Amino acid sequence: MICQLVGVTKSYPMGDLLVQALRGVNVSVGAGEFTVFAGPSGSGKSTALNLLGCLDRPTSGEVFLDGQNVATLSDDALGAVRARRIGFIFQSFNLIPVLTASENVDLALRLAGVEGSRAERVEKALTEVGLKDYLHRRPSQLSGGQQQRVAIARALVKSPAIVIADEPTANLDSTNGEAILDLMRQMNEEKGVTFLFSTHDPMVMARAKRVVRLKDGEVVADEVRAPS
Amino acid sequence: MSFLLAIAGRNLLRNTSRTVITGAAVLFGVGLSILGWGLVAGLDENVLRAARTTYAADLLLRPDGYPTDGLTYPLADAAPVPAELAALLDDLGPWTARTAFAAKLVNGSDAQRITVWAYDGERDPLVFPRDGWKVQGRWPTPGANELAVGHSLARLLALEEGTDVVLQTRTRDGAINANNFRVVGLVRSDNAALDNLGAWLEFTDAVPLALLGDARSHLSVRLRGDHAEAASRLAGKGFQTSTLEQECEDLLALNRIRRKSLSIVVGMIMLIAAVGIANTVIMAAFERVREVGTLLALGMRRRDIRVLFMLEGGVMGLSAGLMGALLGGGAVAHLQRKGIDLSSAVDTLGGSMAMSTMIYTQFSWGVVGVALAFGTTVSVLAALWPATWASRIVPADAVKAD
Ligand SMILES: Nc1ncnc2c1ncn2[C@@H]1O[C@H](COP(=O)(O)OP(=O)(O)OP(=O)(O)O)[C@@H](O)[C@H]1O
Ligand SMILES: [Mg+2]
Repeated sequence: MICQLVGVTKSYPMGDLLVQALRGVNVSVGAGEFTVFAGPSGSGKSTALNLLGCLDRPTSGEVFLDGQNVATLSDDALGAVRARRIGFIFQSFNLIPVLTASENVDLALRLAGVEGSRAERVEKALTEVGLKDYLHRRPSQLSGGQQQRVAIARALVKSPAIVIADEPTANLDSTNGEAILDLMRQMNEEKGVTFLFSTHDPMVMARAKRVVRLKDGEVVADEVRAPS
Repeated sequence: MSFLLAIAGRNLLRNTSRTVITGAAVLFGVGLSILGWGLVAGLDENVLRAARTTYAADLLLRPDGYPTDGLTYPLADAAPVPAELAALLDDLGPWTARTAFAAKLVNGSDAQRITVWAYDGERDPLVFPRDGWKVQGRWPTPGANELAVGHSLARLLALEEGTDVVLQTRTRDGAINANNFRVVGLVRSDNAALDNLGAWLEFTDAVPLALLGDARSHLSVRLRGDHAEAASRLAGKGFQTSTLEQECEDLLALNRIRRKSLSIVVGMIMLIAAVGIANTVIMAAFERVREVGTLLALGMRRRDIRVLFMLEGGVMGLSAGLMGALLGGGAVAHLQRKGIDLSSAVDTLGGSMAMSTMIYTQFSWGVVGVALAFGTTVSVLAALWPATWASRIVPADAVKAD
């Protein structure tokens, strides 16, 4: 098992009220999974992914990554965990606009503390997502689909324990969205990379190996699909 | 760090007009302070040069009781130089004695009250080489009743080389006396006051005119050693001593006030620059919340986020400061060689300050360094609070759709 939420609640203060984003969620993700969090808007998908991605801490409950409880780590300690163990793919790509494709990928390696041979790893990662000829382009010179491929390379280059992707296709048209998802699935199958992502899109859900359904901050269904 | 520096530099180019406008204040502040300091230092040098090359040399002695304000030159207070003092002065370096007295210069129907400087043509050049002076014509020949006059005075009285004039004065014992003189030199010295109201005359011709005898009003010494130490040895010999710096104290004090005003102006510009930089950095932080969140999500430490934004302030301050230093320092270095010629302005204003009409600004790497360091430090400090704000962004913000 790679990561796990145990009895996790998360509430956000909203004026005098507390918004209960998660109400006691138990879920675990194993190595090599290709799992999607599905559910209506506001059901807590992003909140759960943020906790599993060590971007945030739960209000109560425990979050395990590689068997370590990370729920109570300091900001810097969480940052170090993210840098080394977790890859992120964002809905809006979130490349650093002043860095080229290869510099964006290199940044992840650098922050993960990788010292030598970064250049080869960066080039290899970008080649694997089909961007061998775009190494020195800035994000503004790349299409949305290409930007998301750079983001995938950036997430994968450091060989993380898990890649977390909150609605990775939401800002792409269906053709590009499918291509991105196929690429992720390919990485999952060929290299055994663990993916955990969220979506509203039935097309994306159809490609997942496992679908965890959330509603009002609770897990309401957890189905393992036959490989498509 | 060098990597953060590279990102900071590129970030500054994202909104070039904002960066340029913000940097302009730093550029202006740094440039102005270097230029201003160079100019005031040039004024200091000018004041000292005017006094050193025309009447004070390094050390000036006047008879006890003689006025030191440079406004009147009473012949009655002039005194012979005691042999003991002369011997002491010989030890200090080349020195020369002069006698200044008031006279009326008459050219036909025009007349003007002037100050006549009687000098010893043999010794005077040893103390006053008159390097920077411009003389139209020549210096008087002793015994020929010849006269050199300041060029402004010459213009006022329409004097030319060869003009015959009458000098009228009170002799040392109070009688009125007059003699004919021929103007042979028109002098542009380093001292506007002399150019306006001064005339030079050999003792040989001044003694019979004013019945000076051996009374002297100014002993000017070109020192080989230390000023203060030398002055202390001359006490109690019938003459009061004052160093070049003491002679110029009033005008130097004026320059100190100029420096203070300059500091205040530069301080205000730098304050504006600081506000501008703080504003620019906080705007950048607001605009880049998601980007900062992304960097945090990728594992960048908060303190590095802070360093990044402070570097943006610092790089902006340093590069604008460098340009300001280049412009300000360049102008100062240029004017140090070429000088600023105020003679036409002084001529029209009829100024009679004991200053040269040529101001040579003084270039100093120290001033450039301090101004640059100050500009950069202000910029970095101005970015401190915005950078701290940026470092408190939470990484979860990175994943929020916008
Ligand atoms: N930072 C926050 N402050 C306050 N409330 C929040 C915050 N983040 C999420 N919430 C609330 O928590 C609940 C769950 O939000 P979450 O973003 O996890 O839902 P989601 O399933 O990702 O929805 P979507 O499909 O629209 O992205 C919502 O009611 C949301 O309004
Ligand atoms: Mg969401």
